[in-house]
Amino acid sequence: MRVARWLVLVAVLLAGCVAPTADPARDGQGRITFVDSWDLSKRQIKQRVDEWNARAGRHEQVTYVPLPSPTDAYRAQLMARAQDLVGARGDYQAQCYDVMTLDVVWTAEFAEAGYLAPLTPAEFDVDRFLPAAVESSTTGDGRLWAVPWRADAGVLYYRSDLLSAAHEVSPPTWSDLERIAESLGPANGMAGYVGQLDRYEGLTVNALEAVWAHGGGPVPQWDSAEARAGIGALARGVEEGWIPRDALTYDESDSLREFAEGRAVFLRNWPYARALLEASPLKGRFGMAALPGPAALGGWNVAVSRCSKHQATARKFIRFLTGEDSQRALLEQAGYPPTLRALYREPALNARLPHLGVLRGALVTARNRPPTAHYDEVSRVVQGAVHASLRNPGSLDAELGQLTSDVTRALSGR
Amino acid sequence: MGTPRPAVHRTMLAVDVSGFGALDLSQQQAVRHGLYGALEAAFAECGVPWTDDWDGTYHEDRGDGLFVLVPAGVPNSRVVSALPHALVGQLRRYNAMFRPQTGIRLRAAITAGEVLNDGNGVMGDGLVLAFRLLDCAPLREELKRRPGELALIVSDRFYRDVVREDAGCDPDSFRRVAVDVKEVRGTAWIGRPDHPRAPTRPRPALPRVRWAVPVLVALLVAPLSCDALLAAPAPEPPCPDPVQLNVLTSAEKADVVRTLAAEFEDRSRSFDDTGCKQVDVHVAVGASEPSAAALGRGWPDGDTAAMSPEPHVWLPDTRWELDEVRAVLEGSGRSDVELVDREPVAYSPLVLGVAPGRARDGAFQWRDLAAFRTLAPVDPAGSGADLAAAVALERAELGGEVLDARVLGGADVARRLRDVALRTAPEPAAVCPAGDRAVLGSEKAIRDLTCLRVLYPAEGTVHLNHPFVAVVRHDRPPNRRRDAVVERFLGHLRDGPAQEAFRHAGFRDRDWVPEPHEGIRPERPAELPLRVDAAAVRAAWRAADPPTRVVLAVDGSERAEQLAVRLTELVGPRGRVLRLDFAPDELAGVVERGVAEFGADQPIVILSGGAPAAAAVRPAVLDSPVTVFGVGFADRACSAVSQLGVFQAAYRGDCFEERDVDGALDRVADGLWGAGG
Repeated sequence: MRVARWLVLVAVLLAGCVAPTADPARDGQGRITFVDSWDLSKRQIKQRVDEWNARAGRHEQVTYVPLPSPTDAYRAQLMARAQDLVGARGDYQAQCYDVMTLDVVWTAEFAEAGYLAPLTPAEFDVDRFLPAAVESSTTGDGRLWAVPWRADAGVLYYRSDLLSAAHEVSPPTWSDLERIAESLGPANGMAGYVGQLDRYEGLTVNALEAVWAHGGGPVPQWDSAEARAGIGALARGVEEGWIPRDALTYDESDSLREFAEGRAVFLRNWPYARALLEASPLKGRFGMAALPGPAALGGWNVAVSRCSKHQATARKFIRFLTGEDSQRALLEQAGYPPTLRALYREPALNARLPHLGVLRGALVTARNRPPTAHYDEVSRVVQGAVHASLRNPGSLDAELGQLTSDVTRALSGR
Repeated sequence: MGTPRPAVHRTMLAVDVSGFGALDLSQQQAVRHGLYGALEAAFAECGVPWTDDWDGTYHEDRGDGLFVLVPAGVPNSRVVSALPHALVGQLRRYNAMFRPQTGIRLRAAITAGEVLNDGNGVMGDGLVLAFRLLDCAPLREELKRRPGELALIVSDRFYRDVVREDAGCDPDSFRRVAVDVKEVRGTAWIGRPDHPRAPTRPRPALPRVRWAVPVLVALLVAPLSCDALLAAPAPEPPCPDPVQLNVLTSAEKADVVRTLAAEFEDRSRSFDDTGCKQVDVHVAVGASEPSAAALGRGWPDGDTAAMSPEPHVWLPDTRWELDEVRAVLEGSGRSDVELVDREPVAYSPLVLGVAPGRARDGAFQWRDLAAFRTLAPVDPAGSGADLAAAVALERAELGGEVLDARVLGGADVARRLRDVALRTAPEPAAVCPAGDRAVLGSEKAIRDLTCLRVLYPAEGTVHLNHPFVAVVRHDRPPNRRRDAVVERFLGHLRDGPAQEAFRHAGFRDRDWVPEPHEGIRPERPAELPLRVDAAAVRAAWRAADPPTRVVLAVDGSERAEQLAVRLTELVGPRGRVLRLDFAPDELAGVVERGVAEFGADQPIVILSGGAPAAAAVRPAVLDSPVTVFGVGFADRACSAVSQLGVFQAAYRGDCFEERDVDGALDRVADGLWGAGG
């Protein structure tokens, strides 16, 4: 009898050993910490978390930690904490940022360094999301590391009053844009076009979009006719003056200010600028359209940290955060463009938010900046070469020729 | 090997170091050491402690490699899904620290089956299978063909029973291979938990036969190209993620530190032979007191949100700030954060900057400082340099070698420091080009203000010693990679080129040598002997400095009038005196009147020279939280039954019974401008 009991026990243990049983962290449930860059909409993100906390059980509460808004500071904090907690067990894990919001361009870096827990596409039904956003959450081997949450894409703002007076419409091609900017700018005593041409991430985005608008492929070949045409168009604008030389020091808010205060015909910026322009004296005199070429995809993904010991709760929270109700609320109350395709097609939403159609157009064709674990460095060398080309158009060919090998080096992390 | 053990079912991991035989003995030792360290850490990461007992992670060395029995109860799926990833991470970290010759690349096999220990060692079919699989050609080929740290093989049975059943094991990432080693024939599955990149150059399609001959001929007749082919570099292994280093610096050093940090990032490519960029530096600029306060709290997430990322290196202007945080940490019994003082990276003496016309002999005496009004404002909470300026001002006024809470709480200190504060301008403003203010600041800051000349204090001065402070967290697992980077960053800042950069920016280097510059004395100015409690210095200045509104209620007696004049001088242009005259018999209603006429936002100082009126009329006690200071020059002016005594009991504030005007002034000043007030 006693022997039989032992045998049963051994059999149970063996079964537990051979059968694929639960990994405690992967299936762990419990309190989690959710970090996001500082919420510019003030309360909307917190409201989503409060809503979760009201519904979730006491042991699955989420602590919301908004971190500093300059994204480089936010990234530095996330990266340092992830590096600190590699392999951490026990009490240390309480310091883990279980769920993190990651800029689309960092997702590959965090994934390849091993700081994220892999996700199963089926669990999040990723087919419902914008394909480019899903692509930004996926590494080259096809594994999913994050779920798209807030989308973003470059758009073109234009002075509708000036364009219609000149019987023009928003330019479908870059050469149309150039033609209108060149004529309407000087005619109205203002700049033709402003974008983000200071030497920072914005310049990489503007440069890629210019190359794409001139026929460049998704992965930029810098030593190509398309790249020379795209960067050359910006350089020409600066040389001829319809892009002001000061734009070489503009970021998002500088360029927005120039446009909002009536000193430019066209502005390349992100969708957030629309609400600010609506509240400016320019209200009723501007329009928003898709760029004359593919836009660069921006936005934020949410990921589960590998150090999390409550990954099941973390995934459940991400499903809530990226779900339709939450995204609809963020769109309607904070203006964050959603990542779920269905929301762009909803008639009621489109009726209330007429700009949704433009956003949808921009996002459907939007492209990712080249995904790489060494994105920062790649972007840094691109900024250096493009900024030099814009300052001194004579150096453009040499700069772009050199850029290819610099990018290759940067891509390898060297 | 020890005690014989009966057969049990266990999951096992066997690993083999690629190219181990080609290493010399010392390299082999290094690799073995690294391998054990990586395994131990990887198991720990998966929640399995590394032990040597039969029921734990029992392991044995087998020449080139080793095997580990996974403790019963650890799910197989975790052994596949988590352990190899953890191991890859550990290997990357190890490999990033060492030269490529001793970098570790592993072949690994996971199997399950019965094992027993007969006392001479472990045996079992699963173990045999594991080592056969480790040895098979497809696995060797896999590691040869693609870069990376770890190629994993599992048997077909294991794949079907465990891997395929759990999405977490990432079954799709495995590929099927045919195996034929010794008695093991059939199918196995190879996975790459390290996700190596595809080979840098795609394998060219095999040339067709008619091309192959000319190619061969060309190769044969051109030995040079042969050499060139042989010399072609092997595909480069992927780089590990750079270590994130977060630096918090004072504003005074921000520019030079940003430049040096960027150089450090570039230089990190040459830390080893891989050429990988090993460091990302984030430089944040922090105000002195908020930075010190946040460090004293352990820099929780709230401080990260309000200020900047948690710092690994802190570069304040003075060692006093470091002492201040240490005192807070010690006082609150915190052991999770430790500040390690790694000595100065640069220096700067505190000097006085004046317009060229006033810089007669290039020096001044501290006791003559009052002659150089107006001084630019001093904000000891904002920067360490201004903390040093406040130290110098307080010391020049009070004398002595100690500035702590006791000294700064002395009877006449508030009055004297208020006097000093009134010599500084109330608001910051541009000093140049007018040069109409003198500035007490670091030699570096004065040099940057090109409209001023440097005056050195004749008796010696305060030194800004710019310490390098490593912030060590004991509430996190040790991070050796970051420790190494912090050490290298310190070395970088002390190195010749960085020291030159400090000199060029106007600092003195670690040997106190300045860059030659007009008006800058090359020798090291003497240091004033001082013991400073930074928190007390800040508190004293903060209390003495601000604009002050006060209601002055005067009963018309001679001494009250004298005191009113002196107090009005101390409020000075920085604030406003609201005068309220009353007759001695109106004393009981003075507070009520003061609040009715001027509101309750400022303190009411009642100067009463008459005999203490008994509180015959009980004064109305107001609800508003008004502060009342009573001064009575008669005996028992503050007794419980006097009017002033009743005010004292009813309101915030105090009551002072004093004979002479000077003593009364000190006490009221302490109430209005004392750090304890």
